[in-house]
Amino acid sequence: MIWLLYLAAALCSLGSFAYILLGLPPEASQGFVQKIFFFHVPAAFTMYATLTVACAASILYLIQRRPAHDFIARAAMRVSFLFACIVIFSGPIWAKPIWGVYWTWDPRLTTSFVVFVLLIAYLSVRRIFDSLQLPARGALIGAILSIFALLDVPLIHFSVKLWRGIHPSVLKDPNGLPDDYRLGLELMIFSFFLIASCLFWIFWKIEERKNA
Amino acid sequence: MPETYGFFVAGYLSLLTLFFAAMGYAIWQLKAKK
Repeated sequence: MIWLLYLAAALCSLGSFAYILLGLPPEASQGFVQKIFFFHVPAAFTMYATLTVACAASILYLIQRRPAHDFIARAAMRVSFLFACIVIFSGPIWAKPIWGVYWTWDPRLTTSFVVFVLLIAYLSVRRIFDSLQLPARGALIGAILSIFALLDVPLIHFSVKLWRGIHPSVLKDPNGLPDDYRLGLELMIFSFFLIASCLFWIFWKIEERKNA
Repeated sequence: MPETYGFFVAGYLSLLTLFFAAMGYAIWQLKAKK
């Protein structure tokens, strides 16, 4: 099953990357740098999805205190961190030529930064409590942190509308994206979800093995 | 710009291949040591 998922992830990624890099025409005003959009946005959506899994598993852990739920939460938080890195580092590469600065404290950037810090906090807390031989306490604090991380997701998503930030928001706009660009985006979201599922499986099995 | 673009695509494909090779190796290891 995992090999099928792996194969699907590899083929889908190759196909969608080829489509967006070679098949789509460059955007008229931004040119080549606009391609970052096809990595940045799918990575953000994947981060939302993995944070949701982590939060659901953390709530179950808080209720039932079963380590199996904690393994799922920890694996999902690790995958979230990887995709949060893509979001946080690909954004500034686009922002510098378009906005003229790498970073600005726009509402969406700030709320994304909060999630990024919470993810670092989660991973650090787990590592620290593991080294103190108090893994159950680490799992408890981690579960609370992952719930806070998910609470920030609607803030990231609606921040542009809520606080009128400068971050572009083209998905809901009927004139925001041409059909071929939208297809490219959807293919990339699908590929990133498949990659995230494979990575989640790997981290989950490692977690299970470490605690076997 | 086209040269930069070609360089970017080639670099990206290499990284992607490396990434999938590493992921495949990890899955294989996890499956093998059950």
